[in-house]
Amino acid sequence: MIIPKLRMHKSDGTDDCLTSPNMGKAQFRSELGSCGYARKEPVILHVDMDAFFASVEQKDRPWLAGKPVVVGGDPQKRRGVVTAASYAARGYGIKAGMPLVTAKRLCPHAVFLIGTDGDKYEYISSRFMRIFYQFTPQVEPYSIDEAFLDITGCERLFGPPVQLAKRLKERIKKQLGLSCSVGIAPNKLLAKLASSLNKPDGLTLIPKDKAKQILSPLEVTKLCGIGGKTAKILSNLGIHTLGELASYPVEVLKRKFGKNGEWLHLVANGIDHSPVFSQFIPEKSMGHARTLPHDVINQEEISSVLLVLSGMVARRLRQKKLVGQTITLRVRYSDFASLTRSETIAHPTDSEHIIFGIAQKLAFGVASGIRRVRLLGVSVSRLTKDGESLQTFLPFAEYIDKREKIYAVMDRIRDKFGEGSIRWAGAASFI
Amino acid sequence: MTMDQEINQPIDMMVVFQKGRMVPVRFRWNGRVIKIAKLTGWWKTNEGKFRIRHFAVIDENSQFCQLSYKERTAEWFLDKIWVE
Repeated sequence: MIIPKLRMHKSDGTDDCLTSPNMGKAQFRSELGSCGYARKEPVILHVDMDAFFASVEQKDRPWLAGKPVVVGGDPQKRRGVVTAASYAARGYGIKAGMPLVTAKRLCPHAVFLIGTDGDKYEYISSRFMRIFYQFTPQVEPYSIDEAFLDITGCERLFGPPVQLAKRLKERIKKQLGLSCSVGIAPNKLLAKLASSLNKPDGLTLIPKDKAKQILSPLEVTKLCGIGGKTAKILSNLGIHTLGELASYPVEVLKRKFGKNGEWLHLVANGIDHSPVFSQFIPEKSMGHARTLPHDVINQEEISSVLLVLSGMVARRLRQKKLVGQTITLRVRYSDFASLTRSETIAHPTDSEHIIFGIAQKLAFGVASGIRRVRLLGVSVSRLTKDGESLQTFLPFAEYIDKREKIYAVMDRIRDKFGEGSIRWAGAASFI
Repeated sequence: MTMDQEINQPIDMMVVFQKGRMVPVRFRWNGRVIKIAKLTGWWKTNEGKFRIRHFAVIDENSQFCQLSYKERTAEWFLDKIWVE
């Protein structure tokens, strides 16, 4: 695949668009112009940490630097998949989501770090997110290891976009010892693409006037939002590259993909108007799922797991002062077949026993001692703010009130001593 | 084969407070005094309202150790070591 000449910048300083920090105003304006940006045009950064989990472990264990390192879930808890692989490991074909057994076959001499601590990665993620806020308040965390930054108008403070990106990369390297790849573009779609073009430790700029030229030869799956299924349908239409998609009649795409047809046409042309969501986005649902330590068929064991999961969901609802109306049960069987069942209740709730009662009822039809269950999940959706709930007007309000008092006490104990400090007796068999 | 080995045992620790940070210096485990050569990582987690401070360190024999300090009980633990 040949990518047209890009302004690619490696952090070793080999770039063609860098400016001196001491430049004058006129030079600064001409510099902005030379980067393909008129003033006030949106400038979006996409920052993606390089092989995040594996890099954190390599930093903590310096002798692992440059070696194939695989971070994975604990096979004893049947979460035996790769969660992250260092670039050296990726060279052997190891990818996230792959079973650890396959990864071991591909690279037997790799270092496998199993069952590592997710809290550690979350903490380090919060630290680099804080660094992003030192450059702009417009930060949209996209996942644990990537974020979009709207740096429109930040030039006066930090210089041109490339210079800002270099400073951001340096700050992350100095404070956290980690490298990241940065994409700069006039919109989120192109910024995300840019950060992926020159990994690891890359800095890539896609100017507005070069976007089409850069996109044209790329495979359709290179763009965020176009997955394998869509690519297959496009392939059947004879569309393999973004250039082919961009010139395909939009009416035909609309007929084939409905509303998404127009979106496909726009993104293939490098057009994306989605803003950087820096504000809090209200949650639409809350849920927890667990892969069980062994396949379960016994109804009592299933109930015990459902009680734990319902308790976790309800606790989160109460912490966020939310109540929910639709309870969904997710089941994955030992043969990996999955299904979900939902029920909407009359009055929104944050009570673990109401959630548990519904989940148990739903489980009765699908996890009732006939098929072995591998994973169970409980989620609550149709969320509203607590206080809008009519729960206390229900019959048995007195009984519910008693339960709420118990929840309040349990929440206080958990606030003080941690989540595992108290549990319902019915959940004791599932730890 | 190389891997982390869970230890989870209490230890006696000597720390210095440097520029507002707590830096582990040496610890006693199983009657041995182990000198810390380098702090390679640190992070925090919560146990209820109490904090647990975690440290990734390399000792004087280039051995990796993961340590933690539980604020609730003011105790230090050796969580993991790297075994070859």
